[in-house]
Amino acid sequence: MKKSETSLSIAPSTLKQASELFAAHRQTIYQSTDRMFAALMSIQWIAGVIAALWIAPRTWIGTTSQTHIHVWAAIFLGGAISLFPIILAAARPGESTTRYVIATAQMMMSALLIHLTGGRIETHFHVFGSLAFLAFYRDWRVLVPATIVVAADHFLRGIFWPQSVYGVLSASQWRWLEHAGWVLFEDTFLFIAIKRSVGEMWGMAQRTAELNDNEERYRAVVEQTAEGLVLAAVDTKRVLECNVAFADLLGYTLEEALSLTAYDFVVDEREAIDRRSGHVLDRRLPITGERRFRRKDGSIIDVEVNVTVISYGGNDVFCTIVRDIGERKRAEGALRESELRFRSVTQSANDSIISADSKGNIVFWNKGAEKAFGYTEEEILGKPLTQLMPEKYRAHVKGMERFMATGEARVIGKTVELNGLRKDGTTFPFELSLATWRTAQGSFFTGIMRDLTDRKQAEEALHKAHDQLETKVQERTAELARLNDVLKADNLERKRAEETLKESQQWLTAIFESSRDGIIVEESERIVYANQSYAHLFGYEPDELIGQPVWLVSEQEPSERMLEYSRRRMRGEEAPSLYPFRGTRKDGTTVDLEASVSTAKIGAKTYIISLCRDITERKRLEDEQQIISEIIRGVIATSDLEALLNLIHASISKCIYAENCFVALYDESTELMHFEFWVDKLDPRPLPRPIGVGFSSYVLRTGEPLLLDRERTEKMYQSGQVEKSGSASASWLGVPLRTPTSTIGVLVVQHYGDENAYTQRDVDFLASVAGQIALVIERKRAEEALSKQRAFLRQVIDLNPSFIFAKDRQGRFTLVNQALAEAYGTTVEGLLGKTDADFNANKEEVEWFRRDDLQVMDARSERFIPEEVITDASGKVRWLQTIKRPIISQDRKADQILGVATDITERKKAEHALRESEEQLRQAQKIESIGTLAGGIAHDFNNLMTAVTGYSELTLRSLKTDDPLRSKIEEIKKAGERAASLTRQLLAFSRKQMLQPRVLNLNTVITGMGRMLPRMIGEDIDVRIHLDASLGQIKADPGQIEQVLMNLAINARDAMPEGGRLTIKTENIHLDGKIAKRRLIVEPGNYVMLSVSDNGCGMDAETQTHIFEPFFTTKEIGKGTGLGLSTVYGIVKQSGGSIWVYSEVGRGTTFKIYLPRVDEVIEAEESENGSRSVPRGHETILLVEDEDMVRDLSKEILEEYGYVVISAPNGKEGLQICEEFEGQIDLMITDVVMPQMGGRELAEHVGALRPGTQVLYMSGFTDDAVVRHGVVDDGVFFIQKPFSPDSLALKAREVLDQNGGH
Amino acid sequence: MKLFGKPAQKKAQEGKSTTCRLALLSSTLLWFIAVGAGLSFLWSYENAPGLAAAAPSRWPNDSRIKPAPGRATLVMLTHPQCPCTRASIEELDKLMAHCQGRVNAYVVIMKPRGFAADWVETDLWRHALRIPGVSVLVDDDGIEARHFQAATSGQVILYSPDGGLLFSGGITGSRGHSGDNAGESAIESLINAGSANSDHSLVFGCPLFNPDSECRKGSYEEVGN
Repeated sequence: MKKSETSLSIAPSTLKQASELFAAHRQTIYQSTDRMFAALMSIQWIAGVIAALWIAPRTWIGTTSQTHIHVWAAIFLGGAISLFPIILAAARPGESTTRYVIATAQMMMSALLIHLTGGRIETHFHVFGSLAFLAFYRDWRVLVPATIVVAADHFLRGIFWPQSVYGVLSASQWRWLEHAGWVLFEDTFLFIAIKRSVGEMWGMAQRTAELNDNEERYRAVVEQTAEGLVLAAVDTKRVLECNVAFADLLGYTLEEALSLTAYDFVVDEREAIDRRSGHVLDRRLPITGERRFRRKDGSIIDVEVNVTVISYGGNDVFCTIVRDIGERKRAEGALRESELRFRSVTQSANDSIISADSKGNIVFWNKGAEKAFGYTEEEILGKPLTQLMPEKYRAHVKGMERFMATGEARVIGKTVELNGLRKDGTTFPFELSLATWRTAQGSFFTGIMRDLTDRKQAEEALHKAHDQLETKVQERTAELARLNDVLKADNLERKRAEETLKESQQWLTAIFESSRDGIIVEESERIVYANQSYAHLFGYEPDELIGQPVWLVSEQEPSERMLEYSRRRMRGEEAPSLYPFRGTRKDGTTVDLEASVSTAKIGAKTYIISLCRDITERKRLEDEQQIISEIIRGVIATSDLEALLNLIHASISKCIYAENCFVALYDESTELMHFEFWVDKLDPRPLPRPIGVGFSSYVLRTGEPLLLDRERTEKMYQSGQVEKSGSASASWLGVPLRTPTSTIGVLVVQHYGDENAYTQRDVDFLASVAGQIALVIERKRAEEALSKQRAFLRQVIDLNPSFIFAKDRQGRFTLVNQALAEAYGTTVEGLLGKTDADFNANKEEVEWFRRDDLQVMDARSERFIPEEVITDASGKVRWLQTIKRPIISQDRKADQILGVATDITERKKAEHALRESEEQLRQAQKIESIGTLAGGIAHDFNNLMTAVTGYSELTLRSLKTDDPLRSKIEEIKKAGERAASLTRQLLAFSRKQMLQPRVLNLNTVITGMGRMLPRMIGEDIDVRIHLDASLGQIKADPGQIEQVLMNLAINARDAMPEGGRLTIKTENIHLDGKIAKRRLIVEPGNYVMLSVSDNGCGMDAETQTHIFEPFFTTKEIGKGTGLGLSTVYGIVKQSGGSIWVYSEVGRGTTFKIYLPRVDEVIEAEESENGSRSVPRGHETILLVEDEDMVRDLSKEILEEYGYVVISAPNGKEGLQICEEFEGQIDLMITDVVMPQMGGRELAEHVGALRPGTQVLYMSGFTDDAVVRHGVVDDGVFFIQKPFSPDSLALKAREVLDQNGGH
Repeated sequence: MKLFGKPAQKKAQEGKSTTCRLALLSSTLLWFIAVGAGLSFLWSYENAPGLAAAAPSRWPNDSRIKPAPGRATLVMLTHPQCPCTRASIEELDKLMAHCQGRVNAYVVIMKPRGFAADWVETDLWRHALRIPGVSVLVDDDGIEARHFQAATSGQVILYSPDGGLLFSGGITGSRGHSGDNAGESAIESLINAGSANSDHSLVFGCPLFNPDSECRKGSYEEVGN
């Protein structure tokens, strides 16, 4: 049988059912065959073990034995082969995997058994038998793995162990096919058998489906028919089956009806029932009759039964169709009565009453007609009417025909006088009233004919008397006619009024009863009228409500509100006429209603008329809409998903019990359900979990709402569709939260106590709002995600130290970050919508920004600005490196600009500081180089000056006072002294000058210069000196300090050409690190400050940067050497101090010198050179000097003072003299810097040779040999060049006296 | 047809998960591999031959078996307890049926010294007794087996009527498996046609002697050791 052929002939629904039946049947076969094989596997396993133990229990090696490997193979390998299929058959019966595994295992078991039995040919039949058993599945695909296993076994053994298969060690590579071919042979037949069997199954399924369809149809007929249907046993008359109509007919429930016997409800003697039923059974023909049945309540009803015997479930049963004929009986009775009445009337009437059909044949003939025409009923029935008409009246029959054809009637409904034809041929006058009526059989005419013969005769007789009475009667008649008219008119009016009233009443009744709204009329709080709709609204019949209190159907406890309304109405006061209320049905359920109330006064009574409309649905829709609105608003009103879910819960709680409620959302990325909202009286919130077998998982999987009570819950547990989790609830309702694209979760409410907490209405309600809930949840999630992303991006740009901004064409900020807001001294919110001009006072900058921004937007290209300045809120100028890009909108307009500006102020400062440092370094290097140059020059210059001033001095001594050359020589001496001074300044500036510092008090030095200063700087300068009495000591060369003071004073004088004030101040001061660093002093500590201030013209910043440079001057050429302040700078630095200048143009200048404070005791001052007399001596002095002029001069000076001088031009010769000279050398005066052997080295050698010889060094140059940083070492005698003759002699004497002297 | 009452409810379908399918597939694969390995091991064992005899090229004169003149003589040396030799006896049965009257066959059943006589009276011995044309000898202490240098139960040696060695080997295809095999075919061909493609074959059976019994003649382990 081909599926397609039969499928075409059956309905699609039946085909679908057939497919389901086929699949179920096939599944049953699979499962039962799986179980069969599970048992078979077990048996085979045991059989294999038994066979191994029987056939080969032990293997022998000579006299020793051990368990044969076959036994172990049977137990373990057999177990392995069997157990897996058995487990699958138990756990997954009917699955395709189970079948295939069983097929494979079965053939493997065959192979094992064959081996265990020694390859017996009989055991090979196990293969074929197994295939046949596998065919039980009726699934040909099962044979495939089995066949493959067999083929593979032979193929592989044929390759590796051919002798075991073919008996020879070599065989054709296709020989395995020969063995497998037998299997294929069997497979072919099994395949055919399976296909046929499957085909039969399919046919059976189709037939069963058709049968089920028919059964459904017949069941529908049986159940839906209004007639009762009952099957009863033929022997006991017990009801075997019946439909609801039968049970209802008798007033029983279906279950009650099934427990009845015919004797219980048939009103008759038992014997009569048995007799009739036996009659039916014998005849085997259906019988129909009327019976009387007894209902449950004892009332008797008339029924018509049709009883027949049928075969049902293999047995004969009575099948009875029962029809309630009570109404029909009543109608028949009424009809019969009516007919009797009619017949008695018609038969007893004197008038002839004749009826004819549309063809004009007489169908009714009463006694009066018989009497009038002479025909009996039997004679005339069926005869044409024309038989009763004289010839001239026979044409009237055509009028009948015309009426039948056209409906036009001339005599019907009227009374006419005609003549009739008797049987005896005589005619007689009669008055005819003709009417027509229709039945299913057609149209009929009925004529009532009154014989006018007597009346005619009487009329003639009366006619004569008529005239006589006419005049009398006329008057009377006129009066009567007038009264009659009045009466008629009154009657007519009354009839009209009655008809109008009746019609009006009918209209009102029709209106009230047809109204879908409930209408009641109450009087004194009692119902006096209720229409059908009102009664049904509350589950009552209208009659039940009449006379009942109106509160019967309203709220059980009528609210004060409604009572008040009612009282007001009764008092005739105003009261609300339209209001909602909740009504209570007869069954206790409630219904939402809207009442429209009015009052009506009829006579002395006041009635209240109420129109009640069921607004349950409207209210539900309103509630639903409101909830949906609340939920939609919740998206905006709530800040996060949690708040939204709380709002949703609060909203739905208004319409449904939701004290136990949860929302589970499914996360596809983690494949977990998260219980985002949880309110429950009993259970705690579960952790996120994968979709399982709980109810919420079920709803999520199926995507359909689920309403459960305890019974249904239990059924689902038993069916395995769900598993228990959490506390058991009495009522559980879950709906999927579905968006248009997916199901995102589940919304569940449950009640632990009330099984009826939720109804279908609640399911509909929740299902209808679930979609909206899903959408808002999705939207809130999207909002949260967007908000997180925005917050993250906001954080990113705010954390960026660069200024990030976006502006529109009007220059308004549309995006700013925290850095830019802080730079403008505001907040991000304060900056948005504003422009640069609102925060930047620098109009040029603002204008530049605006112009540049517009250029970028117009050019629609990026712009890189390596440096630009911006004035921030504090007025500070910052340097920025900016990148600007135009923002192109979707409509291709460059309406905004995006900029990122990096503050490079610090970098610029660092660059500036670096440049300054480099400048200072260059300056220092310049000074250093100049100093080196100056030092080098000064050394030679000092020698020259020594000669010049020395010889000048000597010459002056030899000249008389009035010698004309004296003045010239004095000029030469002065020039030499000036040159020496200039050299000293150079050396001081370059810090190469020899210093002989000692501890002194600065105040003493200043005080010592106090008289000289005013003379030096001029009388127009007001000198003010403020000295700190507690001033600390410093260690410095006093001469140099004087030099400093003098240079500063001269500089101040030059800054005040028209006079002014010079202030000199000393002070103890402590400098901390910050100030020290700012004043360019490296070491913080205690200092003595010397301040020299003037109120002269001051210096600008540019001049201040150069004042300490050598040869820098603002004076005219020739007015200054430019070395004054550089000398001051050099002396201060060489003394370990620092100098700081502050000047303002037009206001003056202040120099502050900081010299380190010392705690040492002040050293006694040496007397000046010129104030002491020069003693003479006679010691032997060795003079070593490489400069000839200086040597000769020095020799001459010393000899003049009485010393014996031995001179040497260099250190080497000097040493030689020391070695060779036999006499005592008391003093060696040596230059420090000499070629080949310097003075220091010479002194060391001499000291070794002649320890008693003193050494006096002379030099004009700082040299590390005897000085460090320009300071003479302690214990070293030193005279600086240039020196005067007296100073040389004095110094020599001083040194000689140190040693005791001669 | 049931016209009355409510129609039957449909069963719900079971759901499956991808994880279960994968687990099942993996389990099936593992099972298949394990069983396949077990069967392969068993097959290897079944097809592992025993030590073949280096039969003397001429009939050993020391043997107490006297070959009949004019006929080939076939000797099968067996271990009475060897289960694999059951198949060899069956094949001998078939061979004798095909070679009626043209060969004298002897089944020599080894009995170690010290073992009871009923130790050798197994079903194998009884079957051999039933084969027409076959004489059964009990080989005390394996003397005959040594004469023919047999080491494995089921060893068959065929000599020509003039005492020359024609064939030495087994007459089963694998351990304990009856059915067509190269040895039987060769012997039958030699007896009936006088020639064959091979004069030897693999012998499948239990060793006749203990591993060290070759050096210790007359020293056997008791039964049950």
